Amino acid sequence: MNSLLRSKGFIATLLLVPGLIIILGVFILPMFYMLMISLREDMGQGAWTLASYAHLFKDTYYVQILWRTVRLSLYTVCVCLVLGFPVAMYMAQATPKMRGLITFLIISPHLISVVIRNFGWVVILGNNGFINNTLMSLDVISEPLRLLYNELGVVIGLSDSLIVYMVLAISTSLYAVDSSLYKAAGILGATRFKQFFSITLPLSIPGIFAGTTLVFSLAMSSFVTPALMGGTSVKVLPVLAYEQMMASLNWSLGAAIAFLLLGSTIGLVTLFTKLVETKRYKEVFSS
Amino acid sequence: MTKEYDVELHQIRKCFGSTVVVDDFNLQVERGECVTFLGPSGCGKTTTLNMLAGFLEPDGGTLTIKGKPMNGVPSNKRDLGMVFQTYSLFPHMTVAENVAYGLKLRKIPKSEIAARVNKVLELVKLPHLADRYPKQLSGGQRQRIAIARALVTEPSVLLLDEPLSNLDAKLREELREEMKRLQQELKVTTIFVTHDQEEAMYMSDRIVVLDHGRVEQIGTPEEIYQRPASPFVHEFVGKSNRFQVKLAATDEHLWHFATKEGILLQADRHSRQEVTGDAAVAYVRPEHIVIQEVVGDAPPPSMNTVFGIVRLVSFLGSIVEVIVECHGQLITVRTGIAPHLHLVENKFVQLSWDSQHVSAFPAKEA
Repeated sequence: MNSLLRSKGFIATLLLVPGLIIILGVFILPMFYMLMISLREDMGQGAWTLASYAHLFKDTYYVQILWRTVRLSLYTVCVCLVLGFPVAMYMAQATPKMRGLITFLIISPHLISVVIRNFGWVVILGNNGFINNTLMSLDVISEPLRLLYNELGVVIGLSDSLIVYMVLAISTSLYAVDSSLYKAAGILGATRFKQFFSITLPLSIPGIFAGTTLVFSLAMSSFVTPALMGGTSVKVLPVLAYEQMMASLNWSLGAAIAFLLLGSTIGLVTLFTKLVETKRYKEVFSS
Repeated sequence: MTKEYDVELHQIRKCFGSTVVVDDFNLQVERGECVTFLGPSGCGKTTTLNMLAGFLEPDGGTLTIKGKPMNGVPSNKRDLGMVFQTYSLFPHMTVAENVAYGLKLRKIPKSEIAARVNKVLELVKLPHLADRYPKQLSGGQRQRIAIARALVTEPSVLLLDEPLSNLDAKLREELREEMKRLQQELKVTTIFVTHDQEEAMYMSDRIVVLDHGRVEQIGTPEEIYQRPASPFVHEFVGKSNRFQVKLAATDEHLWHFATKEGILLQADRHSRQEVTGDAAVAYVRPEHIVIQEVVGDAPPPSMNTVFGIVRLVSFLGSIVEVIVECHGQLITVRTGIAPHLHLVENKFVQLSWDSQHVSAFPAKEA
């Protein structure tokens, strides 16, 4: 007993207890309760039933919205990847001071509430917003472009709030690349272009992988941005779940939608992980 | 027949801001020659190599490889091979893919690539590691693969940037032997950068000694060691005993010097730099000093002979290093194992040397 108390493993476990209690209390238990609500009648008290799930798949409406949620998340991942990669590359070769400044700049919008930030986008993208007014006064367009309350608006909003995860993940994996590798590739005859595709890109795969997983999961589950920038026409699963619970008071269907969202996110991330973690990936990047 | 030069540097100059790091560097390297840039850190040797590699552009002068001017030509068009201190193998490629990288870029057919990769791996004696990843290899193996990768494209010039500095002593000796064998077998023109004089002597046909961005001397290892062109070279290459002297007299063959403490030295004037003015520095190498036991009282110092007390004896395997205090100055002596000499501390000894082994230079004006 004495030796058990003294063992490091025991003390470490003991230190985990407060955290575990919080996770169990505020995360696992409510989830479990939600699962019950989705599977039993009368707010999780009555008979077992799969009626809510059956409802989701009977009506193509829900499947269409699932597909839209996945599609918008994938667009967001692509935008974050294409816009974030150059920033990450620049950060990886910048001086530590510059690197700190850029990190601050890309994190600083997150110091403001997401609601305020989205209203900022409304001012910029709206029919009477900055972009449309500028383009119209320059006679480039005759009537305002629809940049808001459609899928484009949602992707713009999501990319804005999630790109930081992509940039930080990729730049972290690029810091680890020894700059003499580029010299070695250059001497062996590689142009800058070839160096990017044969050295930079393959060596940033762990960062791309981490960034993509983070951005995709967060985009799948985001609620505020699609609600504010998509309007009523671009519904996604989190918004739908909220409406079912808060407006229609159909908690059972709302909970089922939440689990559909969770299941598809986990499923797609797992599939993606399997695709990325090839034998070579494990040999090269596992420590 | 005129000589073919693979590398020519003409009045190469490089500045970082207002600091001149390389100045007036002139060198011609013959086909198949191994030339070493030797000097302390900050002497400009790596900067010059980087200019050859195309990582830096010279601020002045012309740089020619195989007769073609290279100023402004990017690294990937210079047809060079390079080995780095940090190995710089591509971690996401196997050994075979690393070696094949340069060949693939040259669009060589697959079957030929496989054959050439195999051949060069045989050359560095590691064909069994073709499918491993760099992190599964030891430091020595990694550097051999890096050498293979640099040689497989049959470059016009091989650049070696302190390739042995990250290896431990035993491996370093092994690998430098291997590199010399390869260099001589393949007759590849090589520029080798090191701060290690022993490596430089071992590897090179000629050594360029650099200090503060200036070429101090260019010569064969023997010339550099036997006839250093400047006090810097004398002190940097090999061990030397330094004497601060004043010129006492000059005759047809000899200079006569004396230190403040009364040590008298004679130096051959034959084919040496002229000593002008009063003050000078004179050097005698430790292995050129003969050490003898003295019985009885100390005689007064005579020409090229001093008396002193043994302060420290160190056994170095094939030789013994003795530090002797003479007139307040410590003189290092290296001698073969001599059983008849009982060299112990506080023993009274006589040191003498030949005038042909004394090198003298005019002292730098303060």
